[in-house]
Amino acid sequence: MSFFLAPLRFFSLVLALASPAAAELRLLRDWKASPVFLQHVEFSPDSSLLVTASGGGVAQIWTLSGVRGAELKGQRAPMFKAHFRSDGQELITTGYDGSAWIWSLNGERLRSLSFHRAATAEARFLPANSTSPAGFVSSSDDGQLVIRGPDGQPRWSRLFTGTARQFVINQDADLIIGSTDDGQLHLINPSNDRRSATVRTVKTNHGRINRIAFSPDQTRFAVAGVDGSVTIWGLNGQSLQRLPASSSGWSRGAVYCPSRSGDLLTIGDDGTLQQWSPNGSLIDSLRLTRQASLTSVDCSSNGELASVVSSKGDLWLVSVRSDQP
Amino acid sequence: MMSRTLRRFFVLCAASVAFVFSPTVWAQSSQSILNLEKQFRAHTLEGESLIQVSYSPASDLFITSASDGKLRVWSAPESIRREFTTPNQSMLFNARIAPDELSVISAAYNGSATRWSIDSQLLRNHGPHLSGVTDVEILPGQLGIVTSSDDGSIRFWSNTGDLLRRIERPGVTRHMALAQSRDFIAASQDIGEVTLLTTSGDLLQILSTSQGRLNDVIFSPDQKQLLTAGFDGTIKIWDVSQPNKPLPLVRTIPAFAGAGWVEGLALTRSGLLASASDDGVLRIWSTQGDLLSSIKLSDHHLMSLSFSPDGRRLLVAAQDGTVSVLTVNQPR
Repeated sequence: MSFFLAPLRFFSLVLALASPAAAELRLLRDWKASPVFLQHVEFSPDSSLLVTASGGGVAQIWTLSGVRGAELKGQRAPMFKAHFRSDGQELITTGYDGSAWIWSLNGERLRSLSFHRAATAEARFLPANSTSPAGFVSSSDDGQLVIRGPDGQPRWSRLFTGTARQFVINQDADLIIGSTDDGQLHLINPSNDRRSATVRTVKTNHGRINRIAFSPDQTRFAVAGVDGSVTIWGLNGQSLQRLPASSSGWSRGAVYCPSRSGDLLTIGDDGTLQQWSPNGSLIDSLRLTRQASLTSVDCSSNGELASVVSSKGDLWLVSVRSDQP
Repeated sequence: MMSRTLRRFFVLCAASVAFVFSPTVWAQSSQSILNLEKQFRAHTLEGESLIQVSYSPASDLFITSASDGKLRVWSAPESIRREFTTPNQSMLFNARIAPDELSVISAAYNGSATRWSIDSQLLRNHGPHLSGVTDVEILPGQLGIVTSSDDGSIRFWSNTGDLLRRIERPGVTRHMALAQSRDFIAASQDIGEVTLLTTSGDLLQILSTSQGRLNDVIFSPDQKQLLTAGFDGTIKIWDVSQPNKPLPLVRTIPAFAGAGWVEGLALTRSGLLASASDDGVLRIWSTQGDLLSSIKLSDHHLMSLSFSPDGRRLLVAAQDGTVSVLTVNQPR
């Protein structure tokens, strides 16, 4: 049935995107993507697919019309993250047993890597640089953030206070920004061979940090925390701005849209998706639910779509418009 | 009248004798040790679920706390006496009942440790923490409480809610155990370490177990041994008779093939060691490491277990919220 509905869904999506709209954020479609808590959602690099990661330990690939693709399962639940590689050909998923599994797009498990002896909180592909081949970076409940070679073996690691929960890697792969649950940010500059690094630690007022995201020009980054706010930071570790992302509870997500304007999208436990201009003005706000917390947000590569997931397994696809020059 | 110290000495001696000599007593057929009495659904859980069960140290009252955000006090299996719900049904990592059974306290993902009177009155929120509260211990007398957290901290609080001490440790500090008669606590870190602290927060020592994430740390009834278990499936028994000196490893019980993580441990005064594992199997060991009995209780992970104070009953909680009630046959 879904085979016949898929073209119709895609057609309606194209129509929705093409039609004029007064609002900047407009709900296109939503579907029940999981029976349990969804931890993460992400567009593929070409924005043709989505992947969700669930508390039940399953990563699910989706078309934008909501048709199921490959199901990536078998790792110990909960699964905190699932990421596409930058060429979109492989995915990496995290396991509560300290593992990271590498998958093909059609759901074939290519590698099983044992990264930690406690939950893997985050794992990402690390692109090659001029002297080092592509590898991985992982962080864990054990407090470690580890830069790894292509075989998954550690090249550099640092042990921090609290869970090493989040990190992002910039486009040049020469800056990793990580967070720990004691509310600290760690700006890590690895050496070219990735066997040493300098670490600058910055204290925030967030408490646990749920998401870090680079701006499109890589000169700033946004940080979402359990205090319900999102803060904007310069690469020198200076806090630039604070945005009230949620009227209640936590903010679990913030992401820049890679459009000309570089708008920022934030989500909150209050069920609201918000769009902010680069100077911190609220452009639009869209209440997606009153029954669940919003847990993850991503923006498509052309900056025109947002995907949001919730603690009750809902997935929303939202069109994003920006009139900013 | 016998002094309190003297009484405690005699109790400890009796417990030690039972502990030392029990393994031979328990070398009997597995069927005679455990009898599954009933199973009941204490919580309805799915997905990223957690559940802990523990008897009151003073009676057959027991509590369950779970990822549905509910703390339940049970007067008997299937008989709820009280229920407490966290704001927004925030996931509970653990809970404790006070020895006098007048209050309960929960450790929640939302970063607070909440104490209620047993008649459902909110007494105090201990916090905020910077991240989830993973465990809580009630200290004896007026010493207050201790909390552990995803933020890596171990925090000592007064009963009036003042933060007295904060100790920072790497990674998550996940589970705690109180050696009440000896005035110290053990707090485990996911890096595979155990931090021993006095009940006023002074560091005694840091033990490296090499077991990976520790899912449980308990003291033997005489509080002279510490047992650790978790990620690698082994159970290690450490001599803590001198907690400020390097701890001798008394014994390692090897991982049972295919059992996965050990999620929980419990030990009776008579030396019966129970372990709950990922494979849904409850195992009973002697403290010499002999497997005395095992019983498959669930297709889900077993998460937690607790002996009744007299050691005659055992409660085992599975990841779907089911609690198994077992009778434990005592040695002749």
